[in-house]
Amino acid sequence: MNPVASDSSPTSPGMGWVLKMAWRDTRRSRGKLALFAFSVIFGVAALVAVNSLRSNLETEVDRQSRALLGSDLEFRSSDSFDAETEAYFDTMNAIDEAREASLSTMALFTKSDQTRLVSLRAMEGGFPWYGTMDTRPENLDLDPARGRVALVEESLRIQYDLEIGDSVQIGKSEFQVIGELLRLPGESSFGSSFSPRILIPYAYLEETELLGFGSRQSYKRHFVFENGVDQALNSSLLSNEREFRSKGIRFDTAEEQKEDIGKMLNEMTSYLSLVGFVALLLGGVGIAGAVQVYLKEKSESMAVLRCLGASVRSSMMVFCIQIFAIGFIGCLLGSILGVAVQAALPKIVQSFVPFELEFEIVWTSLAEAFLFAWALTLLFAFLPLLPLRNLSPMRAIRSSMGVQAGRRDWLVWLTTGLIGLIALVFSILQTEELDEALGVFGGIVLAILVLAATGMGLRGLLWRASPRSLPFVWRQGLSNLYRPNNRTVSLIVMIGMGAFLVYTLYLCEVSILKRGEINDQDDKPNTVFFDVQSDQVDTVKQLAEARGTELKFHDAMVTMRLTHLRDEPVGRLRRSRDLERWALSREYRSTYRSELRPHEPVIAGTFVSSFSLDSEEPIPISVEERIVEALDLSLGDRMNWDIQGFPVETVVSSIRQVDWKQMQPNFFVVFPSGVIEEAPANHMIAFKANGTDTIARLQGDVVKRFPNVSSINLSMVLETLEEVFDKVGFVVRFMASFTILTGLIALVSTVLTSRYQRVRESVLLRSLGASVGQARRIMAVEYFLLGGLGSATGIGLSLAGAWAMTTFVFEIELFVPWLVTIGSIVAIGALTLVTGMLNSLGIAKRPPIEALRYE
Amino acid sequence: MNDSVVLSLSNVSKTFTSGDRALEVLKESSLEAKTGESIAIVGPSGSGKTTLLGICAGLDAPTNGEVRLDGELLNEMSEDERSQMRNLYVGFVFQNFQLLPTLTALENVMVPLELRGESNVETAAEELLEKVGLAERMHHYPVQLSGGEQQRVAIARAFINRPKIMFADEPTGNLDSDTSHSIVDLLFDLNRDAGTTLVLVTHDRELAKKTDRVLRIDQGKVTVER
Repeated sequence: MNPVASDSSPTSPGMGWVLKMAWRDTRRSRGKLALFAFSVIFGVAALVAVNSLRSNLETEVDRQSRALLGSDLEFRSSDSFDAETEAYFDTMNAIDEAREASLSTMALFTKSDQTRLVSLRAMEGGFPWYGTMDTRPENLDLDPARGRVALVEESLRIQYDLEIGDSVQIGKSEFQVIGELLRLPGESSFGSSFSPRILIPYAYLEETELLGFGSRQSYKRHFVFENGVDQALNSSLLSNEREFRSKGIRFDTAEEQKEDIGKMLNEMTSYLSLVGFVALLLGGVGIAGAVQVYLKEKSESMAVLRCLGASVRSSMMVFCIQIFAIGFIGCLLGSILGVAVQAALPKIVQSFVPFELEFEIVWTSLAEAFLFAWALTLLFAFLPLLPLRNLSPMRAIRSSMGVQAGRRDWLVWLTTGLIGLIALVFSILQTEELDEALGVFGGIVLAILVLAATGMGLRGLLWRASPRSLPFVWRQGLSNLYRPNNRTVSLIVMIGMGAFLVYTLYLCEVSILKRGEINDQDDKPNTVFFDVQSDQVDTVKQLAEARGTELKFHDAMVTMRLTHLRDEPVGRLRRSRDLERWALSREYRSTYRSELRPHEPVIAGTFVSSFSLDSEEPIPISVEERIVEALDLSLGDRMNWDIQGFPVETVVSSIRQVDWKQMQPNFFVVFPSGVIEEAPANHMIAFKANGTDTIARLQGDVVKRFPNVSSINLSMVLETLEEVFDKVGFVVRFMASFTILTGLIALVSTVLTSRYQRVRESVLLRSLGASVGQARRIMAVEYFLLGGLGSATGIGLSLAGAWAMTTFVFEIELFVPWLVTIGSIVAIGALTLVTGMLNSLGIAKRPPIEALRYE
Repeated sequence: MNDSVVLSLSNVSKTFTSGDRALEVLKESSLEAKTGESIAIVGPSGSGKTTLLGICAGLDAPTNGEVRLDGELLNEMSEDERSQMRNLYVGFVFQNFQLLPTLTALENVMVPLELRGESNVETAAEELLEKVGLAERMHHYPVQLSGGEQQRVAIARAFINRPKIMFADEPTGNLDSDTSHSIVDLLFDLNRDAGTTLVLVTHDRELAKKTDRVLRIDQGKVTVER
């Protein structure tokens, strides 16, 4: 024998040994480490995929918004731009610009000798630079070199059976039809249904001699810049906005357009952020559970190492390195899976989203998700590891010895604080709103406290008032919840948090999707007729009735202009900087009704349903809140109108808030019934017809009879919208499934943490004569109560959480599917029970002595 | 055996508190162990044997009194300094063997030297395993070894750093009588060869008889039985 001399100078084992030991030590625990990795993988995958999808969506929304505007910047005015404004345009250093003038006029189709009110657009320049102007034949333009040419709206071509080469007379000039206009960036086909468009080269507008005549004109100027609207230009625009407004000039940038693209996508990205956040937190719960299970077995090895002379630092480092490495591997695999999911997403969702979704690895999102997840993973894992610093080496000779109790472990508190801080920073980054982030974070902390209080309450209640008359199995099961080494509080917190986070997410999801659903579609109109003249209304209604359709709404639109506001002539007020010029000079299309519709509630004053012209009082009208803002209106203000030559005096009696997203005609001004019915009006009449055939036939009936009347098939629009919502819902559910998967793993690892304690106890009971069935039933009682109470409290809290999220973040109404809610409480409780019982299956079959040895 | 004292305890007591209650497990006990000496600590269950062993080995700190190992006062040492003392001067044999389950027999034996930062320790470990009769089982994991074999590995591990003092906690407690005999012989042979002081805790009267001295502990008080 040649033992090493005991007096050789001691050195610390060094990193080499620690690394070697860390590797060796994983040999028999790789399954448990895999559970740790699994908790990480799906959380990170969800996070990476959600973050990247979010970036993708944002990029697409950005691209889409540019295509919607067709340029970087657009100016609009009802007058031609003055010299001062033109000079300002010159200072913007645009790389290209285009001009457009539009006006409503009659077009005469010479072949059929029929006329139609159209929206005439005179265009010049390279617009659109983003998106395309779709024409048939393709790639047509309005180059002045082509001469007097016109692109006509597809509906006009069909209605008047136009062919290429046919003529259309506009004003004093005749234009040759060169093709159809299918789509123009920035304009929806819905809008053009009101008034079909005809496009001509700007150079020939003057020849029509329409400028300056009665018809309402508007002018647009489009600009494109090398780097879009930069900070300097944006500041300049904002500082001149007031000046522009005073001249009746409005502008839109691609950025503003992006903000306007619709609340739905914003809601979805907020929601997806929440998915990422929840996935990460649930992953953390899973990690803490998995590491606790892992270390449960390792504490004895650690004590032995300490007996053999390993320092606290060296022995802790062995496990730290394992956690670092498995955390890194888990996060790496999660990132790869996340990127794979994200790569697959465009294929899956391509047909579902209303824009081209291209796969793009967003490295910043990836790195952000990876680093956050890794840091949070390590901190969650350190929570159960840190107390082992205080593990007594005596544990090697006395198994009852554990972590030296006593003083509070400041490192555990520090780690908990860091988790909180990282979660807060993360939620700020994900929600991009400090208020929302604080709300989400505070909600989670509050939920933990409520769950902990519930656990402590249950423990205290059972300890004081555990029924003695219950059968042995129940008594034993209940006492497990309050006797020493119980894990009641921690399990209820963990199960409850899982239920709370997943179900809050679910409730937000269904509420968002519920909002997107086109409710009671069967009850909505599907055919709308526009431009119906007053003398045509009855016939149109008769034709519709003959086709078995149901009248849904009928609105008369009376055009009028404001002449006096608060007894001051509008001409003088135009110079005022406090009032918006567009609201003073626009042509109002107002209606009259005896009652308001549900989507336009009165927010101030009282709506007057009918009035008589015989009264000497001014007519009480209801105005929309945007006009109130633009004209600085208050209840009782007088407004004088010119209704096609007839002066009318009105007074503001109520203010309405209109939901403009409703597919119904909405009005700035609503008159009471009984006063302007005799004024010349255009009517919009909507019906619900059965089937597309009926719609087509009815459209044919009406158009043949009244060529001036236009019609739109709303059911097609609704179908498209519904399809989009369905598919958005699919993406949302697909991503949320990752969070649910992580939640399940967290549940398994949570239940596993209590396994060792309970298995040992059930084995002891069996050695005292309990049957396997009794031992299992005792465990079942415990898991049933923990799972049931945890899930009920968690889901109860999620109702409050989802209410807060839907009210303050998404600003929508909370929808609670009660049956699913109750089902979820039962399902999570049952899942806890099943997981707990599955855990114990293998052990319960062993004879007590073998199981004791095993333990 | 020479007369130099390797281990000395003077007026050592240990009190555990549980809630408001204090339980004095060890009461003002003193003992000395000289180089090469073998001592058995006997006593009924719950008498404080394991507590005494833990304090002697520097695994636990006494509430009062002094503990010196190779002349160094353990009381004032930090946890890591005590670990270093154990690594340099102490060997352990446990009742339930306490091999690291993820390490092979050879790796288990190597650990104490690896902890010193020494390299090329494989040869020394192999020689010790041959000495304890496990030349053929070096690369087996603890679960692949019988109880006796596991305890042999543990003994080899305890001797690898040539300790000045060896603590054995019921070394035959989990073994059958045939295996116990061979383990006891091995322990005493190696101890004699290396000139190590041996302190063992046992219920086994026969085993206690083999030691130079027997100390009895009862209700926390240590007395000399032989």
